[in-house]
Amino acid sequence: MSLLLALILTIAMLALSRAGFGLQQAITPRYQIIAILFIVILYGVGLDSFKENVFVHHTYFLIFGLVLFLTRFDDQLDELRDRRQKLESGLYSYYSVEKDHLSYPDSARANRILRVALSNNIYDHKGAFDNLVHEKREQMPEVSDDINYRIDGFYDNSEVLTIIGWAFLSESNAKKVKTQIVLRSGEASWIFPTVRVNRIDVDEKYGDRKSQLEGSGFNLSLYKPLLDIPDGTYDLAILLESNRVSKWIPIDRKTALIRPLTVPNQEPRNLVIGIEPLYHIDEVNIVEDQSRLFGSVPLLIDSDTLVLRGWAVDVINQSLPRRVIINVGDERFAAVIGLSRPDVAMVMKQDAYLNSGFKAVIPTSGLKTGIKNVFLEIDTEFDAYYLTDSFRILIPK
Amino acid sequence: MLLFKQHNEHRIVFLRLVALIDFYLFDALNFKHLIAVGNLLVIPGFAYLFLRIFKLDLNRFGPLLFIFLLLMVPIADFSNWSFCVLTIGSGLVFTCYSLYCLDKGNRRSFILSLVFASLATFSIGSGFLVFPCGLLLLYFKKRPLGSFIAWGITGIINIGLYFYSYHEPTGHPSILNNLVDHPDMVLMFPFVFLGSLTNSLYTTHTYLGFMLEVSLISYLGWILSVKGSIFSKKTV
Repeated sequence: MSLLLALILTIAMLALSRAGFGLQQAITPRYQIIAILFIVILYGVGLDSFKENVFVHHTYFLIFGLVLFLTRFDDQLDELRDRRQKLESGLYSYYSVEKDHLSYPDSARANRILRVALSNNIYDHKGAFDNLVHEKREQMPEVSDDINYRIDGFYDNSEVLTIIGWAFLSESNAKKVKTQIVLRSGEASWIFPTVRVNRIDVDEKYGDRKSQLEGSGFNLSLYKPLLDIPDGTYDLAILLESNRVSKWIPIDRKTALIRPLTVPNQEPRNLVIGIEPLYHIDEVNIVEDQSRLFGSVPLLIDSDTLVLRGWAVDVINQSLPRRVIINVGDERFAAVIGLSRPDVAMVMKQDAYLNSGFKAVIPTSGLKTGIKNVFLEIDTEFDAYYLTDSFRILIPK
Repeated sequence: MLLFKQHNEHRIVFLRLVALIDFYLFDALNFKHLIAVGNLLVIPGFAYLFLRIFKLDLNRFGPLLFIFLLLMVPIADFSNWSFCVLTIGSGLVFTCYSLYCLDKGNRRSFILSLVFASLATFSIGSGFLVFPCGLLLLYFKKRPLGSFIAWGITGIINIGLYFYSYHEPTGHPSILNNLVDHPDMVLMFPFVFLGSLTNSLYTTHTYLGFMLEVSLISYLGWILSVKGSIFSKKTV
């Protein structure tokens, strides 16, 4: 009785504290364990009442448990798969240029906490990038015009490709069809599963008795530096597959996959002497503390990528640099330049510096292990370059 | 003090302790470990408790299978969410074990029940409700005054610590506002809540979900109305 009372009081407490958020709160899965305990306890209470006819009692609850378990097992497998993809997608997009997009009431605070946790190795997420699930196919089925689709959002930069939209096959249940995005180059196709998104609006507009389209929405975010596919320009397509059908349709979009360029070592250029380069490295793998960057202890890079972010300008010509080259030991990589930095332009009172930001994402798998000196070469338009101070990193084995 | 820091309306000391231990043992916070600990606490914890309370015969397959099936019903946002399973889950486990130990009556169990009640209070916001439930149990069991005093003092200390420097969480409507502004929601909430188990079935197995719910309500209603007298006998 007291267990039942504790559960009833817990439910009453939930009702009082959560009712203001609406009845949707009452069906959130995280509280369903309480409903389960409620049923189990009532089952136990009933045991004493059915001493003479306990078989009926057991049979009823056993059938109930079996039906509930089996039907939910089926549903929840799909949900788990979707959740995994959502979490992976969230991690990929976290590494895009704009980082302040954690979904939380106070996103700035949430980002700050995450950055501190990551930089101090408190939160370990390395394994999450081990499974950039994709499949390579040399042959695709015939193109089908039986696919209805729309791309609602398309965001593509040097690091992240995000595609949001909906797609469905005529006369089908969209929840039973897998929506995938295809990156095609020549005859080779790389296929990426998407995250399913509920689209009641699509179902209301196009759905009928033969077509259930609520599950037709999709979302895909790819973190390009870690994709295990060749650099190049890819045509995009949508592939819809179920147990019975496999159909695809090209969409009028392309994406470029260009990892940081390795820059050849021998280049005839003049080193600028006597003038300090004007630059700042804002962060290296989310470490912003300059005393830690340029301190005596090498910065441990134990993630899959070495990420540098900052700004640099050509101070003599008061212009943007032609190139920013990241030197890691004896290897050299061209950073992505031209990123917006209105703060630099404002502080320097120089409009030419408006796009002085740079960023480089270098996969560590291609780097030699050990302690490396890292410094920048800031190229001017006139075959000259500045050399910056160096800091040390440690690439572990 | 960080351990006791308020998280929304909760004091999630237990979750933080588990996370800290994981961090000290493995040098990083691994959510898979937290999920495993939470589920190991909830599923075997409740299974053992129900076997003891209902005095189920281990040789009888049916009842064991039913309890196993219900405790293992997949709840995607509970069993694979470390925060939930280590707050809501552990809070419920500690509450039930506290009442179970309190019912037993010997000194060792009584001390254990106090420990479990404190753990429940600092696992999830509703955990401190174990204290009024315990008082009721002590009353029905006609326990000596000393037990009431010890239970009451522990309760006051725990609830006092819980509400010490407590502040209303931002973005959450207050209980009073909910009662005044949404009395209909407050009344409907428990019914929707108890029916939520079959909610997900309505999209995929509509008739099955409906039949399950109707059969359960009818059956439980019958137990409660016809056989309701059982409540006066069973205290735990």
